[in-house]
Amino acid sequence: MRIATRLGRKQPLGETPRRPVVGAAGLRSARRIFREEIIARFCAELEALGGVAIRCETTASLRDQLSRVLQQLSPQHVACWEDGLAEAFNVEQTLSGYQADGRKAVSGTARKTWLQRIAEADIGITGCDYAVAETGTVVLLAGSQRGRAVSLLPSVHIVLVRGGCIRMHLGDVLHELGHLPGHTGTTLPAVNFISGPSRSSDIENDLSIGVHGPAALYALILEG
Amino acid sequence: MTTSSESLDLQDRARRALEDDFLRTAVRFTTDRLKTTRKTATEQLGRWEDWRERGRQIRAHTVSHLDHYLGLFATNARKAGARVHFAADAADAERVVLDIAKQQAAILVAKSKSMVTEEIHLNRHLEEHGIEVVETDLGEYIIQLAGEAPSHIIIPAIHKTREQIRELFAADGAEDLTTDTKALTAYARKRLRETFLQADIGITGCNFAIAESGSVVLFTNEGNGRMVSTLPKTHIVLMGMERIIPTLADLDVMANLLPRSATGQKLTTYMSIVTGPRKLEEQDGPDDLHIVILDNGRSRQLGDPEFQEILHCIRCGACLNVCPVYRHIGGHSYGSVYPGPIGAVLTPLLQEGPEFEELPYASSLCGACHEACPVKIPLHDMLAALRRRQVERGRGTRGERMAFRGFQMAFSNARRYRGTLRMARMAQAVFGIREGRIDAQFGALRGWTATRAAPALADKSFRERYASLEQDVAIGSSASGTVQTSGADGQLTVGKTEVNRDE
Repeated sequence: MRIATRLGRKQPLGETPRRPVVGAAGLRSARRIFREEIIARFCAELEALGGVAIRCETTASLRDQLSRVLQQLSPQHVACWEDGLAEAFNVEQTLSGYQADGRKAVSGTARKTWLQRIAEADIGITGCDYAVAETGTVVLLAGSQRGRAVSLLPSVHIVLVRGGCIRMHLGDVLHELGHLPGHTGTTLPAVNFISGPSRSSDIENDLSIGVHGPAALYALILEG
Repeated sequence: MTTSSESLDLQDRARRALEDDFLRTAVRFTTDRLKTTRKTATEQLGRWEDWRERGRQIRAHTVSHLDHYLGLFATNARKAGARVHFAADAADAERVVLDIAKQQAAILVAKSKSMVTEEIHLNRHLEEHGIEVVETDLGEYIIQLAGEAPSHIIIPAIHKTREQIRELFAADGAEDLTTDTKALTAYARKRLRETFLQADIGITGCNFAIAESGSVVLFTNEGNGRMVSTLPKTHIVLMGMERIIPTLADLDVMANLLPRSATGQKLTTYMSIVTGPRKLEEQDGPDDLHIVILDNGRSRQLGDPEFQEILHCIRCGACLNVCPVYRHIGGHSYGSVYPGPIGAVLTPLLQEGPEFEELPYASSLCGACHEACPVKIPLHDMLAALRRRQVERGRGTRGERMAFRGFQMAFSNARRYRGTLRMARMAQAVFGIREGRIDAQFGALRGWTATRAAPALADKSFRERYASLEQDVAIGSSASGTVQTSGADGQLTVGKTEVNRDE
């Protein structure tokens, strides 16, 4: 009320005011972009941020690449989204050797225990719903069996990306988030945009990686 | 809103900062780095000026319809399951947070960086009530251990050396720590990991709040923002009432402007959009989400034609990095929570009174802040307007007022101006002229001449020489037939044409 008065209105404006442009409309060129360019750009940007991008043409090669990465890192515990991710990418067998105690979901009351176990995992494996080529970003929506901490607490984050979910611009993803099937704005799941490993320059401007979040980010991109 | 060096006045704090060689080098180095990376990042985006203008339009539209958008945000945030609290001032906000903490029987609070919580001195208040508060941003953690306030909006511990950081960590319990960045970072990671998992409450600020979905958007690099908004059972968001943007589509513009202007990144490592608390089927995320919307002097700027635009600020810190004053004296000299040009305008507006009256004078009015601002806030105009407002309210000495009245009299009439010049030429001999410059170290002009020399008045002014110049030109041009002219301005050319006509 006080705000409306200061703005010269008797009462708060009921209807959303009209405006000539919303968001970044018209600021980007509308040229057609091909899939190959998008994937290549995503990989280049992610690598520039200190991430590792691995392109895989088939699920078989993705499986090989994943087991190679896992062998290299030789983790004791691996945490993984349990939303059917492993099945979808056909990597159940690859992961079966790395069962983490905390992989199965636990009820709300035992959340602390669940978090503790994710914190003990060396690697967190997640999928992603979108990716942004322009910024080397993966976009994760929270949900059932898609713990937010899996991409946050372990020292290494491995994300499995479908080539088809990569968009050129951030704006493209935000637009789709605004039109998620089955959701109105206020039911939007928690969304995390992740661009490379965690970083800080707080000590004498010296860049350091892995301050609180993961120190390494691997993106395995399934192109097919 | 004062910091630890409050006993000194602005001039003394600035002087002390100027004597600190490390501080000056560090601030210069950091601001240079941020300036350069910002330049690259804005060039890479392309059409930066158009993006800036769009950013300004979005902020202007939102702020001038804040009644609507704030209401819409609160409605939608509640619909999403958040508890929304309005706080008129700092005391109000503290009370709200303390009540939540008491309900939860909280003993440990983990915080990510938030200027609003600095503004209301939330930590001090909670600690007075026996609640431990841990800052988890690396820079903030360092200055919390040192018992200081941030000296830069984006890089709070800009003024600390790695040796000082090692000592602080050692006092905190670290053993055998070297000054290696990796070692120092690893200590903080390990030490704070426990805090994240044990904390009863996580407190964050809010970079943007989206009206159409009731979401809160956080930009962070280290991941601590995600930690404190994901792991503890309760998440409290503190936000200034002007943080609103209308739609997700508008976030596209802000997400391109904010990180590029702040750190020169295309996007910060993490950008989180939080809409309501954890959904039932989720394994983690907070059970309760509280959003505290703070006024604390902000609504007073609404409807003020000169200062409403200060609410457009997106807190990127770009104006600090380009400000010649900030670059010399660093953030603590300002004595306010918000330093630099934005602080020099915002602080006296949010907190009226004599304490921060001097701040608008800590500027050279060069306008670099306006040039750097991603939403084009005319900070330099506001600084001048604040000075004018203070003078209208009676700031300044009688001598100063008389001097300016005299100046106005002398310069608004040609005859009086000539007379003044003649008198000044006689008077300037008293101030000591060396190599054509006045560098008097005494008297009324000392404040000026202590740091810069004023050029002395010439023996004969241009106006006085004009008559003879005209003759010289006439002779020159009739001799060669061309215009002589390097020093000639429009008027002289006119003089020359007249000469030709005479021929």
